Amino acid sequence: MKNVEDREFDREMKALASQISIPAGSLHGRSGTTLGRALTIAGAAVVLVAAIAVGAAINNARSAKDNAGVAPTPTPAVTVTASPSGAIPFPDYALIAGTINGLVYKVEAGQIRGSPVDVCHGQAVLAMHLSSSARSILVICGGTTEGQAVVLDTATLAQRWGPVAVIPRMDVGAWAPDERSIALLQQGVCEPQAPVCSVHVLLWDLASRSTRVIRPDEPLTFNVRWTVLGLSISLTQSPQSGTLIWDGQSWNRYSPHALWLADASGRALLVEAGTGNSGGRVWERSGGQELALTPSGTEYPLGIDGDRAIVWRDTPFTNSGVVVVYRGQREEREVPGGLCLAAQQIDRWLVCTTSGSAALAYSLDANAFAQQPITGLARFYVLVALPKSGQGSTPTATPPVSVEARIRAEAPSLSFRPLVPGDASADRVAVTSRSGGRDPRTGGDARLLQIELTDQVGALLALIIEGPAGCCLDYARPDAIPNVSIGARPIGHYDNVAVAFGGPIVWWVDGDAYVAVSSPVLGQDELLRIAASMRALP
Amino acid sequence: MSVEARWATLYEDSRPLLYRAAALMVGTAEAEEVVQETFERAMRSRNFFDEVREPVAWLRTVCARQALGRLRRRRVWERIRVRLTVVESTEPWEQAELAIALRKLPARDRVALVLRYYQDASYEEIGDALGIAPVSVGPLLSRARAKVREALA
Repeated sequence: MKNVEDREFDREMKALASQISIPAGSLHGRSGTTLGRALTIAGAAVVLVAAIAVGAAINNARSAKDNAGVAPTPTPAVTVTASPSGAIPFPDYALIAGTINGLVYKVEAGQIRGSPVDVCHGQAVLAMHLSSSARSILVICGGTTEGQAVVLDTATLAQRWGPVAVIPRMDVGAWAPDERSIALLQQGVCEPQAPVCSVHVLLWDLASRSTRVIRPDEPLTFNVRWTVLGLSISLTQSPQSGTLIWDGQSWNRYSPHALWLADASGRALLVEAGTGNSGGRVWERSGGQELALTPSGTEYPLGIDGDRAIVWRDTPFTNSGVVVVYRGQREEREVPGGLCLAAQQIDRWLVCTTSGSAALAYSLDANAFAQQPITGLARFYVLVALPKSGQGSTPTATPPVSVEARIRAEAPSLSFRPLVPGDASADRVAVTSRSGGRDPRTGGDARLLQIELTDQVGALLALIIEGPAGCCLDYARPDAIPNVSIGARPIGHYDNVAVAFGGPIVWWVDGDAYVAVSSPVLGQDELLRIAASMRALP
Repeated sequence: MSVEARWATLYEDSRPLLYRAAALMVGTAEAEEVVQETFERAMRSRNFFDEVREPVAWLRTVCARQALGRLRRRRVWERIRVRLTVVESTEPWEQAELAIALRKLPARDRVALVLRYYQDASYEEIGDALGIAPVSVGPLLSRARAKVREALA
């Protein structure tokens, strides 16, 4: 029985509580971090409360201001087709798995190969990012308050660079396309009166082992990405809420939403900015127009395939979810047995970091998930798949065969006739092929040829990318200089891109091939000289 | 009714109360997390609906414990000046005098007041949530109320 004072207190407390609005559509697992999502379901004891708290705060601060400056576009018609994914074989890639215990394993055919490497020393592996040549892996380790970034050699798992302190989240590191540097989010000043600590953006130069701040302290900075659009971050606080892209000197506003991924053509998937790195409504951006895909609730972009956008949605309170494919309409497929927490696109697959006990990979061709248990690994691991052509090779282990022979070895997988640089020394050239861009003839992913020219100490001199004509850069780039003469070759285009984005670039179409030569250290004349030396593979 | 349907019903019915209670205890920023944790904990039990006679009361107690745990962890972090968990109040209700006074209370006092005066929990239930004897709940509430009154004066 409550006395008078009790009843008064009762009334005041209930009046106060009645002012608390309850967010709609929150029937989802914790989503402050990717790991948080996994831990939620796995019931693990470790909880990244700090990041989760901030993520939740940001969620609550979510508002219509995210949409400012974007022309209203209709959400695509919703057609829900719920069906279990079919049983398809798991792709035959060698994998690297990072665990919640901080160990990193090599995995082949569902079996651990060799001994694990203790990379994170008691912290969890939060994220791993393969460099574009697949020679190195950026590993983000994190505990509750501190994190670190280290770079491993893919072949040996030996540590090559690091550690560098970072915020303990999965969205804090991104490789530069030239692999010479890495962008990181690092904790800045924690003012006693400020609600959260500040964050600054670092550029970590691997060759000099030095770092420099390229964006000063600012709270609530998320999602560092280095895509074809450039180096980007997202902010959740007005008035700059949304994505900013760095041009080497300044940060320019790209979208009121947070950029998550982009394909080679610049088509991008974004998430409402107010959620930080916690997922949310997904938007698609193409040609400067943004279209809301997610009608409501929290989704996580996984990949883009032609005109399809593939995203993930957790099923509340279960260790499963649905893959949602947007192509004009919305199609859902249930995926039992784990959450796809993040995805790495490789060839025609999206390989997931998963909360489950089996590896998950989504086939873009079959529109279905494949699963494969990994013997000896417990729940939750970060996963990257290694390109087949790069398996087991290191720069020093590259056999001393001619550049032409190495390009010829890659040629069967290419849909165009590749070109060979004329005067490159075989021991200073690395040749790999990878997926990227869009093949205009097939409508699917293009297979690209990547040729790296290095100096005596292995530093990158120039990067040559070849692909099917129409795959990649177009001629309409606003800052490009058209009609550049490349010796006797077809007319090319020159763009004085900032070094941070790979440096100046010359590109042209040669028969059925697109060829681009760029360099962080060479000037226009030297680039044109390399370009002029290139000859079609006999 | 299937188990899934029972969970959905329980969630729909109890979430507003739990959310508001959690918000009063830990703030809006973490309230949803506390509610999620509470349901996750419940759903780990395979036979929850068979084993738990009063599901709402069970959720209320666990929610309070989760909130208490968070408040205690927050204190530790504040002490070591890692302030990521301290989130700026952005909701109008959090600027109300009573809300400010509640935030100044020790964690246990705050949770006890919310349980008692918002959720109408019994002394036994509050004692269970806080890990103290039911006989100690009355004096605890009395002291907590006095602190609030003092803060509001």
